[in-house]
Amino acid sequence: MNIPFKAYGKELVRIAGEAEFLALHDGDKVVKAYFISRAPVRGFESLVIGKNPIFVVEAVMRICGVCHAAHGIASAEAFEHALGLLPSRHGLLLREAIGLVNRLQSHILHTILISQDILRPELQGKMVRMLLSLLEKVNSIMLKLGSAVTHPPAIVIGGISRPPTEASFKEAQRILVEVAKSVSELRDSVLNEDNMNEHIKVLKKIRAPENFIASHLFYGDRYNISLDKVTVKHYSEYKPMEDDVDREVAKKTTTLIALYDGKKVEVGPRARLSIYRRFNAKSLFDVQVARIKEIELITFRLSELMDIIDISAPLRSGQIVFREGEGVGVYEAPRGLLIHKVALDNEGRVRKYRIITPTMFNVPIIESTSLGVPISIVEVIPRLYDPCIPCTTHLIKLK
Amino acid sequence: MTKLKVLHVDIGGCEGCAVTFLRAIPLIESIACAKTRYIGNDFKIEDCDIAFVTGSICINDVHALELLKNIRSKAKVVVALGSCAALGGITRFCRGGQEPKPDHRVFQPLSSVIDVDFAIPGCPPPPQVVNALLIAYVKNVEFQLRLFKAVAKVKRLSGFDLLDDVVLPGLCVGCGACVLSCPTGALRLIDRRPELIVEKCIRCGTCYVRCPRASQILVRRFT
Repeated sequence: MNIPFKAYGKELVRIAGEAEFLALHDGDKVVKAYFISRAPVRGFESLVIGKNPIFVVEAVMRICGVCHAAHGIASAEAFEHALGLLPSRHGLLLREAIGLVNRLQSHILHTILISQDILRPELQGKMVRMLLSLLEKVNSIMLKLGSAVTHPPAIVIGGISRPPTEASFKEAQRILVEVAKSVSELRDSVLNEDNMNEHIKVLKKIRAPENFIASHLFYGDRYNISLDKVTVKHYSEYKPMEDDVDREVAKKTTTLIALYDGKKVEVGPRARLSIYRRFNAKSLFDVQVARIKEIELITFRLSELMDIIDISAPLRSGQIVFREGEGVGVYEAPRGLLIHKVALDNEGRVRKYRIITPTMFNVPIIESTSLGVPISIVEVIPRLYDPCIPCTTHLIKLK
Repeated sequence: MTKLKVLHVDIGGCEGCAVTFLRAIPLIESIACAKTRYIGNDFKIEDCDIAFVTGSICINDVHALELLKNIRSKAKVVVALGSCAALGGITRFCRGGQEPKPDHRVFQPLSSVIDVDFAIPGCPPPPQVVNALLIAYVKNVEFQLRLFKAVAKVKRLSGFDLLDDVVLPGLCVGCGACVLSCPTGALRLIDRRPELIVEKCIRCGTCYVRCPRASQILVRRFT
């Protein structure tokens, strides 16, 4: 292979899943960047064809062990849309709370993974321990609200099954107060200039592109985006195949690419806060700042929700009739816009299923943002965008 | 006492079991020195005492097969962590045909490709089980390791097997352990007997291993 530039290729550590990052550089700055996911394609869209919707919600939650509830909610929303169901108010509120606890789990996990990139070395061990204990607290809230720490079975079509008991709901509220305190400490230590390492100075100077798409701040709304503008492409169709490296990467990678209105868009915390909270975020480091700010915002919203939710009210709509139909579920997963599309046959079984995940939108952004970045810190860029490989590798091309 | 050198590798699961391993690190740090892709800057497959492997193996993916065989050659003991690695779990339903790799069709438990010493089913298993297995291994408590050893020799367990082996022959004592352990809520007790909601069973095998009767059947058959 004849490469005009030097190559810096590495299997990425500290991301969710298995991926490689290849950067071609001129000795100083990156000239070309490739994000290559390596996890096998389990093919959940083909797996669920012919199956009962009850199984499908459980199955798609197993696409990802990090943003499990997000897939469950998006799937349940898609089926409800297809069947013309409206879940009960308190069922929806509890579902929103479970989704937000999942977002907290994911953001805390990401902060564990990225702490080595952003904090001074002597603080990293202490921070990881603090975050692991915070994660355990958040997990115990998830256990109480969603009936399991991972893949919560409480998320079902029509609302929520297995409502928490009053005692466990109150216990969850109590733990949430502790979580809120730890979250403020977390924000103070991660965003404190004295604790940051030398990477941050560079990251603050690099401007990150500002094309955002988000459907909601906390939940997801299919009417806030134009679904027909979302296109999915093969890696080889999205990237011009100029040389052997391009072709080899396209052959190797197990992900597809998503574009909005034919353009690259960023999804995730920075997009959500920029659109719905006028968050002034220009630099690459702001991608991480947005995530930390979102952790705090979610905690506020969660305590608000816990005050409103009445667990003695009906949490699931009474009658579900499985029949023919088509529906779309749009949800804001921890990493951004997540879309599930379903078509049911006349027996109410799945005829067609499509999933578009946030990392599919973010892969082109990771690659384009890496251009011109000093080679010494280029490995940090993919981690900043928190790519999720298990989600990304289970997607099918949209016709 | 020298600490055990423990490695965690994911070969294509959902990362839920990988998070379990990460959560187990504070619990096991007194007896083991753990390495995972989630912590540190450099990660490679190296010689170790115990390798925890998560995710099922796609037998159509050469890269994953090579990785798994490499792990087996470097590790003294291989533990399949989670239902996908131990029994195939939800990935048993995979049928391939999906872009961008339509040839990724068959997913199997690790024991279909390499020798597995211990297997821990669960979707995902709690971090305390990782700790319990390591303590039993260090102290060489044979009776505590027997069940993990037996599961490593099975390639298929689910709620259906629980019904066939325990409930239908009348061996069930109605303790409800299976109902409590099921990660999808596919089991419920009706007149003190488990009833399986078939469309919810993801074939993780957790109920079978948790059942006091079924687990003894496993141990008798396979150890």
